[in-house]
Amino acid sequence: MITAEENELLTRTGKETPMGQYFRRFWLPALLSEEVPAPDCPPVEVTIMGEHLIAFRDTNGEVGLIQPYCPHRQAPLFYGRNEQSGLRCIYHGWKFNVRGQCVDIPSEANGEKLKGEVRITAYPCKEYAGIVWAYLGPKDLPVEFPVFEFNSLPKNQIYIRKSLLESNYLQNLEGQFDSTHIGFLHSFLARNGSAPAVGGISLGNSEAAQTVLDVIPNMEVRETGYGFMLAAKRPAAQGRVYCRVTQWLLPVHTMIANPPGETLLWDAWVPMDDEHTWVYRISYNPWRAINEKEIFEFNNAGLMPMSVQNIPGTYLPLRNKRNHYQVDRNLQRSYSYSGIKGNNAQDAAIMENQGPTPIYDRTKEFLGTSDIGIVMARRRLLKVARDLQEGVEPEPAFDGDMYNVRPIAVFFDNTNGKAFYEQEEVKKYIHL
Amino acid sequence: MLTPEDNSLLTAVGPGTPMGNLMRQFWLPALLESEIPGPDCDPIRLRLLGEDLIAFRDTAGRVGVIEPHCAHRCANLFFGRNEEGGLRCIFHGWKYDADGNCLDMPSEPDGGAAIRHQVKLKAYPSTIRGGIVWMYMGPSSVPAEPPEFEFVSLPARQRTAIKRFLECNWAQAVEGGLDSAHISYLHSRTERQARSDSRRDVALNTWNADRHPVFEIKPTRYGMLVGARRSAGENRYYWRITQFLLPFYTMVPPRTESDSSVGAFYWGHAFVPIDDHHCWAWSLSANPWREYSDEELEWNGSRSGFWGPLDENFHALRNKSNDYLIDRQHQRTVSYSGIEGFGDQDACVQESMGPIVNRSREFLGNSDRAIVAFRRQLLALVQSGAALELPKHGSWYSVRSASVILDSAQPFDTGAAALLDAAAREPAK
Repeated sequence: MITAEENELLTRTGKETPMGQYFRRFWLPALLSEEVPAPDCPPVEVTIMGEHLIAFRDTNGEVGLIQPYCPHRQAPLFYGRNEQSGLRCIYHGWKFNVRGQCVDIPSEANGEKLKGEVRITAYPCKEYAGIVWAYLGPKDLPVEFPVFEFNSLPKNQIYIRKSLLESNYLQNLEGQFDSTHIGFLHSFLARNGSAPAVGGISLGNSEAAQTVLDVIPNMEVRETGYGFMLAAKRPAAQGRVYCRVTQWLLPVHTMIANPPGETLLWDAWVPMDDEHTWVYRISYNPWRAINEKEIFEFNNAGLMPMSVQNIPGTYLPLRNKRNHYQVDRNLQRSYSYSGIKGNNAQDAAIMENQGPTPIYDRTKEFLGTSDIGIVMARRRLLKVARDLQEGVEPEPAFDGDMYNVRPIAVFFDNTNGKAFYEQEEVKKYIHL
Repeated sequence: MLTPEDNSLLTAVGPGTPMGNLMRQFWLPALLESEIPGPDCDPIRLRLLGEDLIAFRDTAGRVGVIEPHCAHRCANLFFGRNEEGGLRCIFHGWKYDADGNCLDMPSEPDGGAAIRHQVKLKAYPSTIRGGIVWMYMGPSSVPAEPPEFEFVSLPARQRTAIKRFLECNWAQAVEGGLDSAHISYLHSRTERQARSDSRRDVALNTWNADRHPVFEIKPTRYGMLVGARRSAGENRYYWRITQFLLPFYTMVPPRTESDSSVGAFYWGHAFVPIDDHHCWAWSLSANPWREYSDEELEWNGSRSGFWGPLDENFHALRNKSNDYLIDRQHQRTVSYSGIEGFGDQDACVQESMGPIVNRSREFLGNSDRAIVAFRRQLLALVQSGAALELPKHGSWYSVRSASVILDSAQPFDTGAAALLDAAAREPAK
């Protein structure tokens, strides 16, 4: 539980807010490359951290992210003509390039001279892993691009999707630090149909899956320069411990673990505005290509984890607030804990209805021992936002290499006396 | 006409408002029993007096009405699992009983046994009577009783209950129910059509023959008795006698083909505030004399009957967003309004006044006396702030509406006394 003022500080990311200024030190996903698929394609509307923008790909294939209104008389550039290396306003033909320079003013006799004086807001963009990343912060800061492992993986080893969430970014981010809810919200009933609570989790019948049935893990947070590692530890057979480590990378990136060799998950919870979030989701496998079965499950198989099912042709979830996430009460009685199909929709049913307000009121809650990750993340975010107000720039924004880490899920021997994070296997796996 | 301040006082019912406090002294109709039909049924959303709630029935069939957000991290219990004696949050499995007590915290060591007692959700007492789930949202120190309307104790085939979502404040809906004069206009046929209608229906013909009823009002222990008098030939009056019962019930007079309403069924309405801008218009009926036929049950008490057609959420298909499907050609030739159903005609005028009618801008006439009396009575009660006697006496609600032709010398309340008393099953001639 935190104060109302702290809740405001944590959740609001508009341009003038402390958290908004903090977020604007980082490169963040702004749209998918597929939204502007080819040179001179139609421009698209983009909203990020409450700022309305237009994205377009010019004749040379470069992506621009610019203010949505022409500086002449504020006509909407969304309807502009994307042609010959720039976006041209359809009102009087003024034209802008991806850097926001005005390159033509055909409606003025002295347009050649005048155009040098006209500039519009344009944010730098880079494309990695099928995402157009943008930097919306102050110019001239030596910020670095985050070196995620998937940036350099071949195309067939990553799989990306995105979807809209109708709630504030933080409550979605917090969900990632809550290892406990998996054993409830995302679980299935025992096959005999009688036992409530947790049953065969969708991970199958492996030892790992069976261990996750222990719904009260021992949670341990280790703070790092880039955020934290959150270990959920559960006792396993022969004195071993099964440990799943979630990575949180400032400001909004999370990585969810699987055992070595299996496909990993990265998410970015990017504020669209204070009441909506875009989740960008990359499943990636450092060891092999993503296979057909996985791709099917990511998109369709409603009961599998990490599935996102959007309304075709959009990034809006099929199961949403307006249709009660298509909750099926018979399914809830007989088979799945929630009665809602799809991991993503199950989470959304919680996050989009967490208290009566779109921004969850954190003065009204009753936190337990399992919420330690959530508490630590809030403290960290409050600290870094306040630090920046005092002039202390965020370290990870200037050190892209910090982002070259993995999540991990391993069984390890608890008897050699070394702390978990000092285990050779863990050190080798986590820090690349 | 009311000042803007008095208008707010009359209409606002949220927690902490004077009218909200008054409403909270009474048991309120909250749901149809069929909305939570049996043990472990689907939990449903419920909003009354500006408060969002979740209603469910536990494994033993007990009704629970509790606040919608789990105490842990405010996940919405609407999506909860209703099983084994309580409603379980799907986020981390915390479980609550019908009284809001936390029974289980499976995500905490030892099921949260050490901390469970610190957690309690707001829960309101409820009871099922006459096919309706009644709820009490007031202080537990007050010994309130649910109102004992006649229909509540009648067998299922002698009563009906249905509700309809209205997009306006509760008080203007009540005022529509009190306004006997509008029957001769809003709900009437055009004059040409009326002449060609059957002449059997005393009520219909009398409404159309005398469109200027004279109102007489008698304050009572439950609210007031309203007599609307129309001329019925020499030295005879046709009386339509209705009650207003605190805080929001209005009775509708029976339609009859004879000189009195003995043997006729009757309707009543409850206009229960959802919040300041929406209310439930309940239509309740009682037939003390006989069982309804299947057709009558359907007509009086279903979504497709007299008060409908309604969708699965009890929202009308003819509504504000489609102008109640007004048919202008029909309006020119057949019906006064051009709108199909009685309920739709009422909804049209009440909702189109605006969500809360501005009572500082109106011009009331003689026919509005009951409305004026209603406002005065409620404002006086609200301003006094005193606890009411009525909520402690469920039996005071045991009344019937009546239609009767009386000698013009006879006062309507004594002349119709036997007809108006629901406790007397066989009223004297």
